Amino acid sequence: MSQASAIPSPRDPAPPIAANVRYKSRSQRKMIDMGFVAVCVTSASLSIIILLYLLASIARQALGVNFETNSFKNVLFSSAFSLTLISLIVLMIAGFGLLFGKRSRSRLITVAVAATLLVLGLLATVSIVKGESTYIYLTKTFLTEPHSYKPRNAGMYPAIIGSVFVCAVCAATAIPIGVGTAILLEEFKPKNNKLRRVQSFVQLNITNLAGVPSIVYGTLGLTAFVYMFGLFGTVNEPLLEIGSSKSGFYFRLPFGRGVLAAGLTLMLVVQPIIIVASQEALRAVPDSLRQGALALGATRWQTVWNITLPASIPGIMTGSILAMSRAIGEAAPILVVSAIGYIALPPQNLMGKFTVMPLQIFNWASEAKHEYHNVAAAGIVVLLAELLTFNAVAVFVRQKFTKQLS
Amino acid sequence: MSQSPLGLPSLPPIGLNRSSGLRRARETVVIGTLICCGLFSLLTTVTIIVVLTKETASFFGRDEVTVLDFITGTEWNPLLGNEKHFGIWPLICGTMLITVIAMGLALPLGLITAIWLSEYAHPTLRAVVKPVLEVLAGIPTVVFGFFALTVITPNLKWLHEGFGVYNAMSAGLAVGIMTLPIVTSLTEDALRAVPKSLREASYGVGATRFETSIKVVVPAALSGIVAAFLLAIARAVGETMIVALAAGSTAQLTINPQDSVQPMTGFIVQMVKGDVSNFDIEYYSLYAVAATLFIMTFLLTVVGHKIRVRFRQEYQ
Repeated sequence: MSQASAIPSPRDPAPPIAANVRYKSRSQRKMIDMGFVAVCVTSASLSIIILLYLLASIARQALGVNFETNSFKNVLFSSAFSLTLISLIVLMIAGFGLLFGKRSRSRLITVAVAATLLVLGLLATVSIVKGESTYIYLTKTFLTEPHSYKPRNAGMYPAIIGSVFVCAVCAATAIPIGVGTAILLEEFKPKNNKLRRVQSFVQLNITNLAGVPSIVYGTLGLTAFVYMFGLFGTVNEPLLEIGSSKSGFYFRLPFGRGVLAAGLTLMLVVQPIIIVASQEALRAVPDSLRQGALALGATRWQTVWNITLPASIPGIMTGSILAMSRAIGEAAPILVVSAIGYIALPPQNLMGKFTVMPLQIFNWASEAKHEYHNVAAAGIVVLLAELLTFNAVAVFVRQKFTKQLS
Repeated sequence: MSQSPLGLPSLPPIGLNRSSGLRRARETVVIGTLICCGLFSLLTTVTIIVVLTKETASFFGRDEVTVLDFITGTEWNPLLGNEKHFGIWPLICGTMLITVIAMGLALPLGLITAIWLSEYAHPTLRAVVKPVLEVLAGIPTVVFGFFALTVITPNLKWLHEGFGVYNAMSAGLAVGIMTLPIVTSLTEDALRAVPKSLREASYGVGATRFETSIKVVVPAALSGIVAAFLLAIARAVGETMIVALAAGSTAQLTINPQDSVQPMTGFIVQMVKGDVSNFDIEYYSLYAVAATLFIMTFLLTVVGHKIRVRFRQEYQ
């Protein structure tokens, strides 16, 4: 910056304004400002409308109303549904405010208005849908039945159980390893220069891993977990088998196209997310706490275990829950690892054949029969409901357990 | 417990678990475990590179294909016909076309929304919108794929007859909608990191809010914005389920958004869905495509990181 020398001394005359520069008048500039606000609001509302339209159209198909372009009812339905959703969101936020914040009258009024709008929107949605629906696909049996060759009988029970299995494996492996890495990177910073370089390399590596497409992890899982590099024989003739494939306990090498291989593959996918979230949580713990513990004679691990980790648990939990919700929605790596269309039974053991919710939805959506698209929409509603629950839990954890530390 | 000469109870004896030797041993074990955790992420990268390199090498070891054909070829039909062609460009072209369409939607919309959120919107509104964006960024991509197939495509067909059942436009728009929350959220973070003093100085010399945002805040946050954009591009390049559902499976060299295209990820999905026998050339071509994909996203991530580090402006 060589501007210090260019500053004119106070006695110099003001620099001449170049003749060919046209300055905008004040009103012109104000107009531009207002115009930009209009552009902003338009683009923001465009994004919101697109997303609400997405949700509305999926809900519509789940209720058996098939898509029609250029129909007045379509527009009407979307707006009614948007109204419902917006009021639901306002209701949730105002409700949270009432529960955790100051109880003020304006909040009560907001809740009342939002509730009224919600009821109106729901009524409008239902009344519009009712006339056209061919069959409501989102039923109770949808949650308890397997896939069927009759679209109206199809359900996603094996997929739900499969998702639970796979996510359990993923959580059990990804969270300890991810949190361990985060602790190493944040709490045991080396003083030595060479080690410090190693550490920043590991950090850069994690950034890179976060950017690797999930389908590449899928091909990695296929080689490393399903076939195990061909070191232990083939999938059909495994080298090592413990237990029987029909019972609840069964282990073998190589893992084959089973729950364990898929869970470990997903672990690779979500691990960078957990590491970065945990690092942020640990970084938010004020240094004074650590120094206090160290001054009392605690070792570094005792400091971490008794002071830092308890203080950062809300952040780590929130990050882990969000990572798990990512894992539930991941279809591409599972598709590479499992490669199975439809199965009738949930997995029996860790090596068992399985399918997960997003994969089931993908299979239904790629069917040629149009009824299966309705079934897929119903599956999406279930999946999104589960994800929303996860997110709500994460928000709740963050709100409830975060303490002011400094 | 014995009484000390002063009549006070003495301190409890220092137990075994408090001996400094054991403490140190435990410390070593714990640090060793943690280092293993840290090495695991390095191991993951090494394994990805080794697996992709090895399988790609055995792909090029076959007689049917040479490295030169793979890099320069403009025809990709590994499954049909007697004469198999393995030229990567149709797949890269498909990926590019979809990425360009997606970014044409997501980057301008995301940037403008982010500026509005960070510079104009009321703090309460921002506090509401931000978590909603995070939730939207977590919607599984298969949902957007379904949306593209059953809603965007019929709408496009209604607008113009030329759109096929599978087309690049529909998939590209869906990918754009998917990356929109990511772009908005990350760009907003970058804009918010610009210190308030810069804005106040700008207002102080009489600038409007528009002039402050465009001429002061955006240039100051440019490195963060570019990094966010590159991350979004990497996501779009690696996006799988949307293109597998909506883009079709004809690998062709085209820039017409009404045509069906097959991006690299789409080919991998087609490969693993079909019954390809394990050690045929088609199977190995999957790894060659995955390696190309990995290299592309890796370069994007590295460039993004470099830009962020190199052009970061430090403010007090």
